Amino acid sequence: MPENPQALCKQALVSIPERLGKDAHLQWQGRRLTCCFLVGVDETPFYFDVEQGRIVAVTQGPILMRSWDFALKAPADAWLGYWAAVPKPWYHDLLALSKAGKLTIEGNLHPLMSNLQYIKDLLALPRGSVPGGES
Amino acid sequence: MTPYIEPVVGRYLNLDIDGRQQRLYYEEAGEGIPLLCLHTAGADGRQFRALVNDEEVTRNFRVIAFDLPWHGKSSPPAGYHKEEYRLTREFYVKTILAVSEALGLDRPVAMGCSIGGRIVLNLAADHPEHFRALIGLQSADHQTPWYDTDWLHRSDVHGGEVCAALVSGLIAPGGSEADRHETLWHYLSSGPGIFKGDLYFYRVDGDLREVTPRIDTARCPLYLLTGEYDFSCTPEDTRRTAERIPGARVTIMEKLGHFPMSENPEQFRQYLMPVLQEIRAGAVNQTDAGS
Repeated sequence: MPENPQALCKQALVSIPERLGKDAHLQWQGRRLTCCFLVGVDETPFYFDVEQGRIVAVTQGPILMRSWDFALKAPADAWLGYWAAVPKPWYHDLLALSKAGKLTIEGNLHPLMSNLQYIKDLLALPRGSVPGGES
Repeated sequence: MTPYIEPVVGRYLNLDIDGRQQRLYYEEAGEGIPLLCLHTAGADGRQFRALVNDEEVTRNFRVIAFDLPWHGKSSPPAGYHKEEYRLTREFYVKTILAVSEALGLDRPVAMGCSIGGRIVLNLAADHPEHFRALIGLQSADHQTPWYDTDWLHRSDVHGGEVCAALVSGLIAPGGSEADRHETLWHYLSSGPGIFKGDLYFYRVDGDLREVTPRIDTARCPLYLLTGEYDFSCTPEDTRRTAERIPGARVTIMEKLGHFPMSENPEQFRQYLMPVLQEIRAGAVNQTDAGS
């Protein structure tokens, strides 16, 4: 495990908007999605505001009374495993992490399930760029 | 690229299954021992596109991949529009046996993946005399669900897209992007509710924990091959299943997930070829003993 896995996770999450900006097709895939979803890293929430597939803000919380549509929460080491260049079995997919009991999925799942590949690909954008992503 | 035509022939088989007329599409290539291939839930025989084009296989095996009714280029039967599709264990077994008989296959090898891997366990238990060997890919007597199948068929979520997005995680990283997305295309283009209907067999009507103790591998050899990245039918699910079947042979395949023949055919054939060679050697030995 790296010394500060939470800092590495934050670095990965805040890099997603810029990475998405370079991927016009992925933005297009999410064109019908406008929502706020929460990515939890240990106890820290990061709020992703999405408008028509573009990310307008990633905000670190907690923020009092901030609402969100759905949440994906996992320990830092699980996220680092997900972002490994070649993730190991059980770390290579959000639903794999969920079945392994490392990730919880909460809230209104309709925006997630109707845009599932977009969300998976969006959150996988930092893959291979995060030191210590070797769970 | 120079245009070329594959040595694969596709035809339609019309037959009655369980008193209902069906028009089934199948593809085949090669000569020799019949190798009947069973696709995964919500997909079709295109998953075996590499195998029917593998000359090292088709030199000694007649490889046949058919689409289940409601799948691929097989038609849904007349009246389908007034019923919810659900695959049952009984219908699945009858379909495989009916196709084998209608095509005149002499004790084929049956190789199925996922739901196909599940049903070969049932074939091993109840119909070993019909098969010279059975191969279960991603095969287990039961497994733990990991999502609610209601998401697969509803008016406010695109069925093809959610099916493909769910199963995309079952493909191992590191394979070719083209094969990954061809594999997903089969899900993207499947009929509405078909994947969900297949999972009725997988989750509700296909728990084989009481069936597998009846399997006698002396009557029909059983090979179980599972990809390490499959978190739906996990390597542990397959090992646990095999522990209750004396003589079952287990191989855990590296760098493969739930769709080995389709997601990474080159990697898969490294594991499949020794199995086929062993089956062929057994057939040769039987011929020698009988001559």
